[in-house]
Amino acid sequence: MANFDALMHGFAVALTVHHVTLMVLGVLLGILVGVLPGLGAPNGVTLLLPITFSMDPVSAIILLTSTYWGALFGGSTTSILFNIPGEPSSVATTFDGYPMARDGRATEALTFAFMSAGFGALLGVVVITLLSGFVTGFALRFGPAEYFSVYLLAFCSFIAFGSGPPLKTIVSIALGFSFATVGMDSVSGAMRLTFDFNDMIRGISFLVVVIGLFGIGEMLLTLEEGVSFKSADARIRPRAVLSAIARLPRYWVTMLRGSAVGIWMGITPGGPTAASFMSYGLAKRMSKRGAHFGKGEPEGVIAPETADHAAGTAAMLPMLALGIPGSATAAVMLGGLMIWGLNPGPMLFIERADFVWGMIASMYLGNVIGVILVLATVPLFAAMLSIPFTIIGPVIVTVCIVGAWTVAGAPFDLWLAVVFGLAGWAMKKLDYPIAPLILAMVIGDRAEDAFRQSMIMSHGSITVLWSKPLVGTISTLALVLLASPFIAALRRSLRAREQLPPAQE
Amino acid sequence: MTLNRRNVLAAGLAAPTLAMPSIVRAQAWPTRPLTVIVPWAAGGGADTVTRMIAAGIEQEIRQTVNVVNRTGGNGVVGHSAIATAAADGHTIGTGTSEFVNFRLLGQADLGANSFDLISRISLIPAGVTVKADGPWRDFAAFAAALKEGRKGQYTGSGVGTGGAWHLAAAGMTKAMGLEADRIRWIPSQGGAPALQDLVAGGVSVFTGSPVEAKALADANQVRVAAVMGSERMAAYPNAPTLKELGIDWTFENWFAFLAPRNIPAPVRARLVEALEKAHARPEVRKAMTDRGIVPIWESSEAFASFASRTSDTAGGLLRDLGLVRS
Repeated sequence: MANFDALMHGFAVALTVHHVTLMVLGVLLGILVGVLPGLGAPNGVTLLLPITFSMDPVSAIILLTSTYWGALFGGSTTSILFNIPGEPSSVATTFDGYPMARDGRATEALTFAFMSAGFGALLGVVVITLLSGFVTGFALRFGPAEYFSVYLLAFCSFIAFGSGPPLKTIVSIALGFSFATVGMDSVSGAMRLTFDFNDMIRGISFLVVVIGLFGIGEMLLTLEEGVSFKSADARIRPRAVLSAIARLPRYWVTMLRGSAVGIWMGITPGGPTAASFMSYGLAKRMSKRGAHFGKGEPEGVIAPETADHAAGTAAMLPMLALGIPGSATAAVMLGGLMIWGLNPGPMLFIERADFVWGMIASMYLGNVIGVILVLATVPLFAAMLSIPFTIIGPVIVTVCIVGAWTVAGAPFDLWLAVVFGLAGWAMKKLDYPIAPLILAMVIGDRAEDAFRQSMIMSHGSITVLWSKPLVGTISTLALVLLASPFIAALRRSLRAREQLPPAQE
Repeated sequence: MTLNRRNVLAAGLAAPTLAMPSIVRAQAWPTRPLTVIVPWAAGGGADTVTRMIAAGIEQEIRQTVNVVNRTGGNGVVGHSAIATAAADGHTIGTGTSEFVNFRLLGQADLGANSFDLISRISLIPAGVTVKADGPWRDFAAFAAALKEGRKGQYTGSGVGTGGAWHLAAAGMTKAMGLEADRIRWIPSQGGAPALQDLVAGGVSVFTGSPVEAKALADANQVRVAAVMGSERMAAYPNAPTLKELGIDWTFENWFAFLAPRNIPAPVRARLVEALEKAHARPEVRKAMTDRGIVPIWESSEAFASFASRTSDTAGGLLRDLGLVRS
């Protein structure tokens, strides 16, 4: 109950006109940042960081976290409307969000996305509030072997999504892995696949690839097919929003599962992007309507969105309590804490209770404000679909190019985006799935590091993945998930064989 | 500002054909916002220190100072951006000790002679941080285990292979009369993940900055057994220096202001003066010392001779570790 009292005190800190104004401002800025591809939450927060140096720490953290929530919400918008993820963590939202929008259900998809995201975020904050002492210890049990097993789990839970032909899926994954290899190898310090080009030392940014494959590739495809966006429902229909909200409780299992995955990945800290992919994969596996995933299934929007936001909020806890950032954005905020003169750690909860609980209280308020603000923008964004393609097309391409520029301010990246745009078009034409490539790029890179670190630790013995109960459980779970389609197939064929002999007799 | 005859002369000698424009520019510096390139991510150590001083520079020159993070490739990307920036005094950068070793590691054709070395700005001592509920109560116990155990039995982490904290560990074991690679190095992406591995039990010792370990030390998860600076750290009054323990080894990582080479002398003089003044401002000093960062300012000559000495030490250690590629 001590936590509850502290939280009430926190609300007293957060519920001032000044702080609520900052929340609204932060969320709006965040939505803008989130909508623009390439300019993600970490960039947005980084840009704002210097402004906060002259503010008091509570106001500063409220502005930054609110921007983060706004960016998380905004990232889903373009995923759904234009198949262009505004944030890496909203890539998985495109899989079902965009088909829904093409079917003229954009309003519904956006509402589902925002409401479930808000639900995930709030559940994440509730967990932080109730279990702040308990869960922080969890992050400390994570070493490289544990990280690798979590990434393996994310991979295995997503791998058999089966939307593409298996062989082409493997090609796509392999391409993703090789793109992730480019640049300096962080384990040995050697340059890989840079061909002595200075621009390649940075490696190929995953954001630029997303902008190219999804954004520009999609534009090329639309141009070729000569169709404008299927004119989605552009009229302002609050009723569609309300009816979608009314249908949301039906998906409570998906929402709880997504939140659980997200909170776990935020605390451990695997990050929101891996969380959203994992949640999507699990939902597809476990849902009765799994076969409809990828064709515009609301569950396919809800699952990654809840996980994405739950991970985003949950990641704040290990940052505050242990100085371990659970996401790229949390890492930037960690730097902010230090500059504001606050040292993360358990003492922060005691010495600066007003800061910690003011921030936690602002996470409740900020997310509620976020949901309200983005829901209010749904009709506005949905209306964008009715703008003629001749106008919106060039705008999107411009935004994509600007986005590619903001990643590192490198001209080389613009060419990369264009090349990947052509590649995205070709992949769609040849029926190669894009998602596995993205997944391999995002998780593959970190999984490789974690795997090699654990191999160095264990002197090259793979048994390190079963050396402790925690890592052993996750690794086994991953392999079971990987094998489950084969086991199911085997069981079917066995059952068929059992049934055959009596028929013959 | 009066036109100094010697400066005019110097500029004239340096670039006769450009003499007039450079004098005009010299008089006008700074004519537009300054850019400080940081080769590491926002929120990290180098970024934090740079932003603290950048706030001071803004006060000194009454111009905006933009801190730009150009990350990637172990700092190669940012350092090469500093080296190739326009030499007009409007772009400088925060270099980190890595640039001294780029050539040896075969990572880039960049070294101390690729830059105009201005001054080091801060020192960050290394430390010996172990798990709080691990087998070692103090440094003596850790050292004994290290000597009794097999080579490579114990693991260390804190940075990528061949990075500053790796050299700190290698130099320490050498000073103890052991092999440079006595501690098996687990490369990591930085301090935070390495500390997490330490607490998770995958790593025996963290040789990075004790400043980064503050949160976990407060949480009684890790213990700073010793520091590698020349004196004890205020945040850890009970952690002795290696010198006190009879081991002749100090290691302090450092950040420095670098500029592209060939900035016109009058501009350079005013730039360096502004930087030094900003660095000396009490609020800038306080922001650094509050975090356990040791501020330092020196002449360019002193920095240059330090860089060449450190290059020799680091080169020797990297050779012992078998990491030299060229």
